[in-house]
Amino acid sequence: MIKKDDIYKLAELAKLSIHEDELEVYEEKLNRAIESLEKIKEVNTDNVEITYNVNQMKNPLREDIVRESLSQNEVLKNTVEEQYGYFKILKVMD
Amino acid sequence: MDIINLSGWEMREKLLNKEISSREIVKSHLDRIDKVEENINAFITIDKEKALKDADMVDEKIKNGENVGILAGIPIGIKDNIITKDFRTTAGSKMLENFTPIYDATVVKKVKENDGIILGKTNLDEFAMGGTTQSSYFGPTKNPLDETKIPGGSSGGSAAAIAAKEVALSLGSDTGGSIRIPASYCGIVGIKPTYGLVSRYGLISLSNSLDQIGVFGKDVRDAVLMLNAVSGHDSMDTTSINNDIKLDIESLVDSLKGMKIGLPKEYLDLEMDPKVKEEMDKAINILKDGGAIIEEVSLPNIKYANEAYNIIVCGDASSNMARFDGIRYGYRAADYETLDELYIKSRTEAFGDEVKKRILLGTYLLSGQRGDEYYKKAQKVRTLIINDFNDIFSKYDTIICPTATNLPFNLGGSRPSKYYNYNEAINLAGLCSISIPTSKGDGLSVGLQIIGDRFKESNIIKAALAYEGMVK
Repeated sequence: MIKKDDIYKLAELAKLSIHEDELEVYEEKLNRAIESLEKIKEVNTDNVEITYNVNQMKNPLREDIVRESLSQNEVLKNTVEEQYGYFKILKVMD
Repeated sequence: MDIINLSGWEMREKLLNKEISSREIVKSHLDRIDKVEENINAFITIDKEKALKDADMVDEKIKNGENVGILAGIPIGIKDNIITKDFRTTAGSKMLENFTPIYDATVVKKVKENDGIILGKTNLDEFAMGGTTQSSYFGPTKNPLDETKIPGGSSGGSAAAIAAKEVALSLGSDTGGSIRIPASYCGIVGIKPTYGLVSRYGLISLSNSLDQIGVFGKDVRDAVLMLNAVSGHDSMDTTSINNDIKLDIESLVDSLKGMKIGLPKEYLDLEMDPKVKEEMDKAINILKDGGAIIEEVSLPNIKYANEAYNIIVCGDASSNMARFDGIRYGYRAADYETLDELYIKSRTEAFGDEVKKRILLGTYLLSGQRGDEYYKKAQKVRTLIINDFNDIFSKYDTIICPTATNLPFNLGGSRPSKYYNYNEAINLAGLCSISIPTSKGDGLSVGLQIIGDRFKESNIIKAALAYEGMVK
């Protein structure tokens, strides 16, 4: 069971803020969702391998050669604030 | 001749025979959009001028006797979680309301290289999280077959745009049924290809090992045309397979004689809307009459597919959504005093409720010991589900079931809990699957789902073509 305090903790981890008014709704929704997942615990998975990907994957390696990439201008096109060709955020050090 | 009633491949044929021009094809669809779009809301963004300009370029190529691509002149819609260079891409979220990508997804590049005409970006559940297209920040899409009903989702806009004759072909994405369900509800054909057949470079990720870009068309031939245009290996997507399978439609028009089809008893045990049940029984008889051998099979672990899927999707979504930080792109809150406040306010103000719920649930499922208890457990159950399918595909060519066990429900509602389906299992196992309408003309549509083994698209297309030929 998730309690209201747990929701604040989860929101903090996920960089979200949950308003007091919404708390009960999230508590109800999340507990219902978690409860619905419990059935999976009844499956016996001893000695079963994990599948992270359905196809057999290998890392495709290539020579470390400099290739054309996106320009600084293009990369900055969608940011709200930029300065001197950089993303502008708050000062984090004095 | 009303151009919008033609299928995509018919438009292309008439274009190459110089019976119609690309401008005429595009113009007739733009006129149709003017008429119905305000009501249907299949699109988030449309660029009419660009579409007409692209059409003129195709006409110019034909005039000059140049070769044109396999999508030449065909009006196309792209789901708005697939990025398009210099063309707004929102993923149905306030977070990306003003986002203009700086490069094309590989599939978009391929559509353009094949001379397809992109009319616009289609509506979806926010970040593809849902099955109704109701969680879009840009409002719900209506089902063109019955405007009081949902079109299904999350690729609801892509399916509705075809059903409403606003485009002939479209692209969607399918993580747990997001192409097949709207295809079924809107009465069109949808293909969820094998994981790895189509590049996902430029698809805004929901769940990386489940997401697959796929296609919609008015008929099987249309859907195959679109699939052939976008499939193939891509070095920009490490999960794409180095195996350029192209489907030769003419060689797949064949009788079903000898095709072995499995009918999973776990599906037959599900509660079904009486019309779905009736259509399913009819479909089984039609396939048998066509020469297929249909036998009952069992997928014992499929009853855990929903649980395994929800754990994996929410876990993956919570980390995928972390990239939306308000700094490099996307929404940024107006007031903040600290960096943390910038992140928190931007994300809280711009994500919708369903997205927040999945992020919180995923964060819960992955934190501390729960990573082993849930996420790893789900990936092990996934192995068992894959083994079940492998067993069946060692003896059978395809598996059939209803795409949805219910008919589309009213806008504003949610799926009645008694109706359940196992569509997520197909993504867990990375299989290919097609949804094809069982009958037309009497209101709401029912979809027949034909599932094939990995990279055995040829089997499902062969069965679908034969079935389509018999119900036409």
